[in-house]
Amino acid sequence: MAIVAGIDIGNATTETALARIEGRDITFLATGISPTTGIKGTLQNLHGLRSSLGMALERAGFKGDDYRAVDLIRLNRAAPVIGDVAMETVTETIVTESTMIGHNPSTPGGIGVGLGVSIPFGGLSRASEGDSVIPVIEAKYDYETAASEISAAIARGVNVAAAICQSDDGVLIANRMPHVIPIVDEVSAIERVPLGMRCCVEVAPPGRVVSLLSNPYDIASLFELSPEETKQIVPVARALVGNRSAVVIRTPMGEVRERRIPAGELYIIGPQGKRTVNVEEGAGVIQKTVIDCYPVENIFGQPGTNVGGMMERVRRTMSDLTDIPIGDIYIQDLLAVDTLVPQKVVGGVAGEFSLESGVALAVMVKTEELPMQRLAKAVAEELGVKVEVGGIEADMAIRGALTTPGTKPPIAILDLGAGSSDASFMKTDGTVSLTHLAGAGNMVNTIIGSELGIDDMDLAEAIKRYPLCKVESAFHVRQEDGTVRFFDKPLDPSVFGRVALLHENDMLQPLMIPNISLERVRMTRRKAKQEVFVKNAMRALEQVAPGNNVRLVDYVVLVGGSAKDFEISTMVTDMLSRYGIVAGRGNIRSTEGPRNAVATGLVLSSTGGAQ
Amino acid sequence: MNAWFGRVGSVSALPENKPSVWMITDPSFPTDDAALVASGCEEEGVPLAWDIKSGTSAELARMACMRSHLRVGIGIDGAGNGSIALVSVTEAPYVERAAGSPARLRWLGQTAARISKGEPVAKETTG
Repeated sequence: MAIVAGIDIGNATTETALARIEGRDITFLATGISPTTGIKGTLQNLHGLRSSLGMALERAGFKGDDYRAVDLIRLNRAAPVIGDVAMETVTETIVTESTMIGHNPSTPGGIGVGLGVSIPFGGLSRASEGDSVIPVIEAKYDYETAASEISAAIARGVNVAAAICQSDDGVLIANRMPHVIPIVDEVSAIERVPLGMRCCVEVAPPGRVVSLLSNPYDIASLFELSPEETKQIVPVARALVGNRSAVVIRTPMGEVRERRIPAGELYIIGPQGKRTVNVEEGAGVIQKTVIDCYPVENIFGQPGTNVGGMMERVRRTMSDLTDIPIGDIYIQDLLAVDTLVPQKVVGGVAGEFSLESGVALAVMVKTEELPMQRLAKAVAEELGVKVEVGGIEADMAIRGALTTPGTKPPIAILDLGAGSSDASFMKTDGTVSLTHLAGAGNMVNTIIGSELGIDDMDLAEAIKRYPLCKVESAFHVRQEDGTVRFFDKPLDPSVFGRVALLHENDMLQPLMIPNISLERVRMTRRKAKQEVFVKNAMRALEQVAPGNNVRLVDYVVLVGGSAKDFEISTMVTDMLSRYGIVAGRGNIRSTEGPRNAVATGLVLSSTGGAQ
Repeated sequence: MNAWFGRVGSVSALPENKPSVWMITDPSFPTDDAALVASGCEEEGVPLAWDIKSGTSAELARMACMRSHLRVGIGIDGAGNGSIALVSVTEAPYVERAAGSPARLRWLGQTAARISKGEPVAKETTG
């Protein structure tokens, strides 16, 4: 009798399957799961491994640190999947001189469009009859003072066409005017608003968005622009789309342009030689080039560019962690996804953002078995247990997945993890073909973070993982499917009215992102999952299917941490059903759901067969 | 009863059936300070009705919300402590703040207005 632990070190989690083996009889005792520490396949994994194994031991009735109770640890051969993701912004809007205020205060004042010359509020008393002016009101003037001075100027015959205000006083001032003028408020950096310049302010009615200042030809009409100047103003108009209020100021030296950042070229080396693709050409062209070069032998980025830096960073990181010479690190797959990235407009006055084009890239490095042998040696020394490196991950996954009731070869497995999407196909005779592709849960996080302007990757992970809701009252939320959930106790005022994530146990995590709507977050999340997991599922199955024809696959089992996601498996299943494929989430050993497939496979393969 | 509807200072009789947030303040609470609370409501575009009675801020807020068609009430005691009560939340005021700066009074008005609109509460700024 022997106690065997199969341990699968993944990009995000380390999973253990603990079993008692007597001859060819295998009895599974317990499982453990813990976050992976460090990059998969490195010595940093040891801490997470101890934690995962300790959990399994405790659940099986041993002491959590009684590692010597285990006779054999079998590790997955973590090669060849180590990924990195990055976001390349392809375009950028630059405003030299301050020419636009496009922010979206929650309560601008008045309604309409006003055209005049920007003047300091203190200079309003010196404006003459017939002058068209737009006072710029600093926070030191309260709304009563602002309203009375503007009213007095209007009474003198000055045409006060609009106002720009630093405080949140737009409605208060507008309510005290003899007639309605548009007022943009909450302009924090008001000292940067150029004075003595022709200026246009637009405030749309509630529920509407600006229509004149988001249209380049209307801006051209207002400021009498030439066709060349109109072309220059296009990025400004684009940045103002969707705002309820906006200001455009024409400065004599002002220049606005859309700069294309040289993202760089990718050099993809395959059996037919090297192909070059520019990142600016977008995800579709990049992905087609990757397919044309299949099987990819190596990928480089143009030196001195962003993408060149990314590729070298991946190589250097892997080389540092594994002691493999940098020249022996091969990048063997790449997934590109087109994104829209909110970028701060360079030279804006109120933190304006413009949606710029970007490309998210995930790459995968093939490593050798050597790092895992080093890790196995370290584990053996640390825990005093015999350790061996078991089979290839996708091979183990298929052995584990076949413990799902209702499955038998020929069958394909999609292992959807955090760092990579793996596929394997087992024929009736037991032979297995397999592939490992770049791009999985971590890339979804990168896309969500970029498109929603989030730097906190823990928050991006939470957005990926939990469904959304909107807090509609102190006692109820409306979930993203339209249903309502009530709470026994009043919800905290800090979540009131907000879009929130609905965690387990009804815990709410409010999204503190300004002006964010539930629909936008949901659309971003679902698009990212579709672009990464659905696209990768197809890519992976095409590589392992008989004759590379997906239609020849009858059954697919989804395993891995991302298969547990509340919508990814449905998206993949829905897509595969169009090819007549029966697909569904695995249930390893009838108890584990889609998790623990590789760890289970490692235990099963120790006896040379399935359970 | 003092009341205004839509803008600070325009004192007029408020028809009881109009939707508004209600504020009830202690008789010793200064009118100028009450105007600060009202300005917070007005900037959000929510009408405010105002009455004067004696009591703690929690008691006054509860009385105020029961009179509000928007089911949101503000109560401020003589020391300037403020509460916001909702008809639906009976155990305690939904929001409570100790006496503070003019900015806090305006924030109370803004918060009551936003709650009545179903919008997120703004972060309280000092000043």
